[in-house]
Amino acid sequence: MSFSPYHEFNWTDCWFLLQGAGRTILLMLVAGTLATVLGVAVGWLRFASRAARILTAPAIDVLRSVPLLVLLILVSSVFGIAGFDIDVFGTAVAILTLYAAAFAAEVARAGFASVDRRTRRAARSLGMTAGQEARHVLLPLAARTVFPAWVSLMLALVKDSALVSAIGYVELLKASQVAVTQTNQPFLVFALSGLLYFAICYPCSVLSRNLEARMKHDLAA
Amino acid sequence: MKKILFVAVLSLIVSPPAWADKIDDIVKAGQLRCGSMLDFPPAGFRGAGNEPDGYDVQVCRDMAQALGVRAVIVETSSSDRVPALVANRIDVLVASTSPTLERAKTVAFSAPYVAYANVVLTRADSGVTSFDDLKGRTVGGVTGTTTEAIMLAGLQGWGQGKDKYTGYGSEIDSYLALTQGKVDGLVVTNTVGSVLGKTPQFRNLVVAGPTPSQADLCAIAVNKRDGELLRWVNLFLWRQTRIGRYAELYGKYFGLGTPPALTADGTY
Amino acid sequence: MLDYQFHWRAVLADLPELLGGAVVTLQVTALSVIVGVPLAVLLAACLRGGASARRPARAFIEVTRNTPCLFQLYLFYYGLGALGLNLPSFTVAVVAIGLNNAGFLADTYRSALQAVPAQQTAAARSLGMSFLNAFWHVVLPQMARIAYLPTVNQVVWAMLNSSLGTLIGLRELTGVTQFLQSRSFRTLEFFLLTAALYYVLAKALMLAAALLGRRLARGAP
Repeated sequence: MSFSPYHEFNWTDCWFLLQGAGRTILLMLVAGTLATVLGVAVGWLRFASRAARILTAPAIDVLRSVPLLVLLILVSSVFGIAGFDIDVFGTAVAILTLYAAAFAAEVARAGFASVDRRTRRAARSLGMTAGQEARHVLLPLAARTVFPAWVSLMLALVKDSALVSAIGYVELLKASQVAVTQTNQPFLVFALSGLLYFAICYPCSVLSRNLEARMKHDLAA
Repeated sequence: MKKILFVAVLSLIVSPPAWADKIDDIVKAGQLRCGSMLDFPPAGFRGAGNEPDGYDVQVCRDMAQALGVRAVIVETSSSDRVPALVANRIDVLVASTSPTLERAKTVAFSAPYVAYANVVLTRADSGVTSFDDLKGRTVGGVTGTTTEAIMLAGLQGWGQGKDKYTGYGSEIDSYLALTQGKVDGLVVTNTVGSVLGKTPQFRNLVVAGPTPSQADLCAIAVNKRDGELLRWVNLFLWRQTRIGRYAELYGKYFGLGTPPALTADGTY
Repeated sequence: MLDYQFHWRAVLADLPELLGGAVVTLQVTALSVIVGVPLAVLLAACLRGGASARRPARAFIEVTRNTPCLFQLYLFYYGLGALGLNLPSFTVAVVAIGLNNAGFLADTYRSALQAVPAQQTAAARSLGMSFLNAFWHVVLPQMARIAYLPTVNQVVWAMLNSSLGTLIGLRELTGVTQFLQSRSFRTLEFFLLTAALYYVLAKALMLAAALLGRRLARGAP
């Protein structure tokens, strides 16, 4: 037979895993950015208007109460049936964005709510316009408060992106499954991909913890 | 007058374009998106450089070549095969799929393009030598496959429930479970059985006789509304056998000698 | 939704089987909480202890928090299998999700533990209570009030995470849905129904938690 479905684990597989890790990071960057923008917008609406809060509540509620795996399969089949010409990466980004935005909106709303009303009024009484006040007072103060929560959200996104393997996008987890298929060395492959996930997430979580500690320190000072 | 003109222009804009069938779409796009399982060697797998290869994959490439377009291989897991087609993520499904009447309510199947026999796969040390030896043992399968259906029918025949059955998400997961001893038996195609036993990684797996099932004639699937494409696929398959390409690919990937006839006794 | 025809009959006929899957989902959730919460309390206690207790606890928490839950399930199922330890997928799901719960709750419990002044334990001990008695009757009820909300959130998370069990062969709600939809391939109908079932389960858990929470609040000072 002129082909080889199986081989020993080698450097090609290592490179394949690294490519998977690259795609995981790409997913996080693209979906994370979109989710943050969407989340801040929806969070602002939910903070500023009661009507918006009531209108957006069901969508956020559903997104937070259904497993991502089920959402992925459901939404990808809806996309196809509706005739959207969108590839697996696009589908994955769309679903991860919506999913993370549902959480980001709540984080953002909490951030806006944490800014003292009197501070904002003081800014306006100094002659700032509403726009200036939002840009120079509300947003920076809110961002400061929710920054750690936002970092954990991005970390959750890295881990959630593993589920995208279920609709066929070859990110880190799917790449490890492929490598296991070819080498039948699950322990080695999973140990490697575990290390890669850890290498992506751990620095972020340490950074977030340090910043949180520093902020607490600043507030106490 | 103005109003009539407006309506006429509007109707021109919103009226559907000249009717184009799926074949036109594929030729225009310059690519045939083809769904295959890549965890089902030797029908579908990734070669040493991680590029797709295998019997199903090669059939896809032949088909794309005949259409004069590029083949894009989209990996689909066994339970995601038909959803990928329904969701329009792929144009055709060449993934060793058995054409059941239930599935045919959702997608359209071609004439058979490959035939498998289903056999029992077990570990050399399990003591299982026939399908009936699996009675009372822990067994496994892959969710949404014909081989799973055969196993479940066996369990029912032995008066057993499903509590000793585990359905895995992919073929490789089920082989791993068998090698590791999580289950004592699987039902697999003869093609899988022959290649696994020769693979160093799965040295401890052996084929333990046939299963009480007929030859599994697998078909290519397309969307129900793509009738033209289906007729084209049937002609393509008919030619593959006539020009000897079926025998060539069967020999190359499965290495099991003369390929089985793609017909059933007493009918076509 | 251009030309999609819904076939609900087949799906509704399978509803009893789906509900059976939902029962497995609830079992995994409940057991994983029973595994996770005491372990999280233990980890929290370790985090407050000396370096020899703190370091392994911290390492455990970092690994569970910085790798995907799906990855952890794979590692436990096939990784341990490669070492000759074969556990059924139900057990693996309970243990892996339970450990995941513990990793996520440990830090919350540590701060809850911190919030109960040490003098209270001392006072209880001086009244003749044993250490365990003092912990059970004095510290734990106060901890419970602080840790209550994060724990409820984690229970809902555990329920949603249990859907990942399907990828290691567990026939819980998502697994049963995958199995049933692969027979008839009415993917959209099946997953819509399953999403609705998950929503109901999540709401039911929240409601149960709210009722329990009211009891906790009644005991508040």
